[in-house]
Amino acid sequence: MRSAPFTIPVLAATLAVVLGAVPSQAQQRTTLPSAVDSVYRRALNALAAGDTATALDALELVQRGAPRFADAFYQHGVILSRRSEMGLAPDDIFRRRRAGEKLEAALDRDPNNPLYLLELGRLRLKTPFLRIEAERLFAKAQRAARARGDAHLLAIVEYELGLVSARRFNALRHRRILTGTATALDLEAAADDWHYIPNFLEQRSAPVADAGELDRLKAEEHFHAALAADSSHEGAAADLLALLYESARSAEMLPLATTLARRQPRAPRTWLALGLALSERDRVDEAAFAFDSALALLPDSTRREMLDVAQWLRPDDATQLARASRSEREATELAWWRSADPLALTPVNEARVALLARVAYADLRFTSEEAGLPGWRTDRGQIWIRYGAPDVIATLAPETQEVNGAESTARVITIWWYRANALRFVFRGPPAINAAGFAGNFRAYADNARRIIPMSLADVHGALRLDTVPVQVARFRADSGTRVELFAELPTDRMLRDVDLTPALVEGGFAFGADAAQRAPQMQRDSLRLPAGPRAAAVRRSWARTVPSGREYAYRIEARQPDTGRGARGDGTIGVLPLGAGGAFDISDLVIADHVIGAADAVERADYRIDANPAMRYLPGDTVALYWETYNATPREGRIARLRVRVTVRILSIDRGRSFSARLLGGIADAVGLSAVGDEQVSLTYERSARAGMMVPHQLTLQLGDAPPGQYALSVEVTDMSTGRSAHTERTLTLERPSS
Amino acid sequence: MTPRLRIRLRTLVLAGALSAQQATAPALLAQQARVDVTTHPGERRVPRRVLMPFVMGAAAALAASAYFVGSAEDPVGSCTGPSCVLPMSIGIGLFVGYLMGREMDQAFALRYRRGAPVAPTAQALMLEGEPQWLAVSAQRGAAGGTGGVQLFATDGAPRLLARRAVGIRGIHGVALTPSSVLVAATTGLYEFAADSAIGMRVRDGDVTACTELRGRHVVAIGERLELSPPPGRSDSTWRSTSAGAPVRALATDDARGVVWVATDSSLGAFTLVGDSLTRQSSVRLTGGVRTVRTDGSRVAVAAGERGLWLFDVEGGTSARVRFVWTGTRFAYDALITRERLFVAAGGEGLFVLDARAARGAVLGIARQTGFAVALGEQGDYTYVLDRTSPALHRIRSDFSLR
Repeated sequence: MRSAPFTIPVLAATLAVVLGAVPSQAQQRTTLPSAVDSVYRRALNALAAGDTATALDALELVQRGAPRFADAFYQHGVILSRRSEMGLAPDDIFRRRRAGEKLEAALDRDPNNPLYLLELGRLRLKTPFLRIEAERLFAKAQRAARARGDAHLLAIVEYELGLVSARRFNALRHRRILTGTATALDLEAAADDWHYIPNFLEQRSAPVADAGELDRLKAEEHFHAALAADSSHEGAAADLLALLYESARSAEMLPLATTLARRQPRAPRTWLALGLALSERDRVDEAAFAFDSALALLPDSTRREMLDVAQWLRPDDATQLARASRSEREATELAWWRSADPLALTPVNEARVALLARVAYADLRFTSEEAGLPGWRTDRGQIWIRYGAPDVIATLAPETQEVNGAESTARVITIWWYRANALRFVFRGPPAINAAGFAGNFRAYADNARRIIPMSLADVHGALRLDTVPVQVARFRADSGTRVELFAELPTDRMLRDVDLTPALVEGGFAFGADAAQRAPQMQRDSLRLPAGPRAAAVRRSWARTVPSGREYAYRIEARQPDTGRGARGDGTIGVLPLGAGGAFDISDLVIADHVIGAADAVERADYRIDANPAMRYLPGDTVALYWETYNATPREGRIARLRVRVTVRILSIDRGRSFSARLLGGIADAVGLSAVGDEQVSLTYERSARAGMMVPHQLTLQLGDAPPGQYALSVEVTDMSTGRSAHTERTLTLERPSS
Repeated sequence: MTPRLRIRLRTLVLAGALSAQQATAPALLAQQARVDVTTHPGERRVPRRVLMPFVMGAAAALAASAYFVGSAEDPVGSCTGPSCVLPMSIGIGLFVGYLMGREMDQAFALRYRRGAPVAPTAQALMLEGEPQWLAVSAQRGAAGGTGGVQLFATDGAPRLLARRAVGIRGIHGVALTPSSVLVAATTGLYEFAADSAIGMRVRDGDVTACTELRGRHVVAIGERLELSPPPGRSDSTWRSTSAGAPVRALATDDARGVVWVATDSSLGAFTLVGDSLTRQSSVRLTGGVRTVRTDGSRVAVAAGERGLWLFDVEGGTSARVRFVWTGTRFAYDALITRERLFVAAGGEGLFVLDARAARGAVLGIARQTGFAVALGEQGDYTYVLDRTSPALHRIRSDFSLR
């Protein structure tokens, strides 16, 4: 069991509510002798100060001094009741029994006091098998509160009745019955074997249609009644909003949350719920505002904990982050949020909104007053926030006999199954109580899962249908520093394939900088109008920046179709080292292109037109054009340098069939001194003369012929024959299987 | 009969009875809504707490009859003989049946606390995505929402014609003109010609509602009402008029040239004066308005959690509230069809109210139309959009309430 840091504040708050509750009829009737009255006041003061031991002693004295004074018994019962846990531990049974006696004594003296009935009902809820009795007491309290015309109390009672139904609904909602020979869920197998849970769900259990529907209807009625009696009832508001969200009724949730946020502007839970409703309605900008409003109302420590990036990192990384200096930590956190943002083109970080929506849901749904834990700190809440909504949720009825040790005995088993990454989590908790923790070894399993998959934003990317922008980055020497060229292919063919608008607008964005990963990237934006539908084609773009060497740079290239919200993104970092420093012979990056066109006397990069292939993907029969530069070649005769070029194509992974080299060799053009080496590698070597100097451009064209699909490493090694020094560069290209 | 055969036979009968019980119990619970809806209102419905004990008792009796197959000569335990098993099984069956029936009755009472069940005969068309908005005309209908706009025929049983606006996000409404489909969305107003598969964005902005008035598009963007330039004119400027508050819904009375404009605080009537829309009247309204509908003499406003507001129209442009009905948790849409007023109430179903009454009087509740979120009328038929199936249901507007 986790520690419950909120238990003491919750107890104190509850007692404060109790102290402030309406005076009972008995109290109104009874005038306490002054000596007893002062003792009673002492008891209340002690209670308010959290000194329950003194309060209990004083209340015992009051009960002896004024045996008809019901409130003394009630207060005594409340203290004992709140200090008892649910379950069958002897201490708890004893404490509950004593609390029950005191509350019944209060009711003997003031029958039909709704407050007393309510507290007795709450006490009964903690006792297994007495929940129906609890509901009966709440119903009686409801009638009594109505008869008294006490709206505040009526709201509390309606809320309790709603909670009884809501908890039952939550326990029943995803209910499955075991079929075939299955008798129980094997927790060990569930944790050890990823096949077990999907098999169990598909073959050994069947969902029960409409399970818990009546309880949902009842819960909704009661929560509405609670809010009708007291519109400021935060609990009823939160639970009603959770119920609407769970029923996929965000259209109903939104106006209610808006109204409640207006009525309860200082209640962070209501703002969180409003943010959740807005994000569900795809009103991301407004959701971000609502979440920020909620965060602003939370204590600093809670806000920091809620948004702590460490919870979404692998445990080792989280430990490392915790050890980092404050400035490093802040920089890393900022970089994490920037990186998580699916599209910097939009004003809102959709990932942040999605994560806060998960926090909001966990808060609404898993907050357990019994355990004194906010929902986002519970086991279920943590998993929900980390991985989002599971693909399948299933609950199994409590076992009446002991099976699997005591794991499932008298406990509801809840299964969460994430199909895409085969993650599964099993929780167990008492029926009709909103508390559940990891079952069996699933805490250890969750820790292990976090090492492999620290978190997932697949739902956010799925909603945006986020695509990838392939980017090829090449570094060349420049007069001052390094010239970085970025070649990107915006996947507008896929983004616009089923868009039926013409012309379709596509917004593009480009950011490049030394600390672009940390700062809000200043996007250089533009827009394109393109044909949509089946005629849509991918668009290639390129950018160049000359930057000082010796630093790491980050780039981000994005495309977004505003009508559909679809986006694509390519990003990364690149280290820029000086090329040819100190006059050393050096080579640039290799550019893989479809075409490289340059005049015969071309001597500068500007003399070449390069149609780079950013994805470096080709089809059999395509031509691969290469471009690179060498620097600081030493002259051999006059001003002419002699260079030996060796181009090698090596198989990385391939569908091996016939001999590879035989197919590739025939396609190499412009080759002098060709030599094939081995069966998995082919290289060509040639020598060339070039004007010695700062930079020598090179280009080469390869014909792929009918080489088989696969991945190939393409490397270029150039040797300065004057000095014998070599420089080397390499790329990987993919030869795709032609689509049928 | 050999003892072995007897045991096998007994096992078979028992298994049959138990599986019948297993199969009927959840099915009865699950099917309850359907059973309830097709049951006629009032005294003709047999309370399930009365019916179910018989059903479960009979199932239990069938189970217990296994012990009468042959003779149970080797009883083991305290209650394995026929004389004990039969009454015990029937007793348990009656009790379980009573509990199930009681639960069914409670659900029935909650679902139909505002009115009796009615059962219109519906023709259904299955849709895709999550449609939320509906427009119907004599030529075609359009259901819009997540996944775009699905066009369907309205000249008979509904059938799918085409899909438009695929993937456009944040669709807030659809409207039909004789020659096109208008789609209001977060990113603008889109128009798709009826005979073309390609559309275009004709107005930028977060368009919350759209309609057409005498061949000109009317859109709501924030607090503004915007009117497209007259067709064929070279001037492409849209005329803008302030509605005073964020506009939630629009409806046109083309015959009288009136656009009814609903905000969260008022219902206003706007007419074309010169070349722009001018407010003629305004009446107070509260609530998160979702839709506004008019038949010329009445205006119905579905105001979400604030229920349904029915107004009588006086002098063509002046509205006077007749009643506010809050009998449903959430009014998604409303539709006036002669003497009936339909209210799409989401999971609560389709409410049928008396449109002639001075106050909201429920004539019946239909639940087989699913999660009703939007309504449309064409000829004698009312179309109901069921968000969760998702499906479009076509029912006769004057279906029998008995």
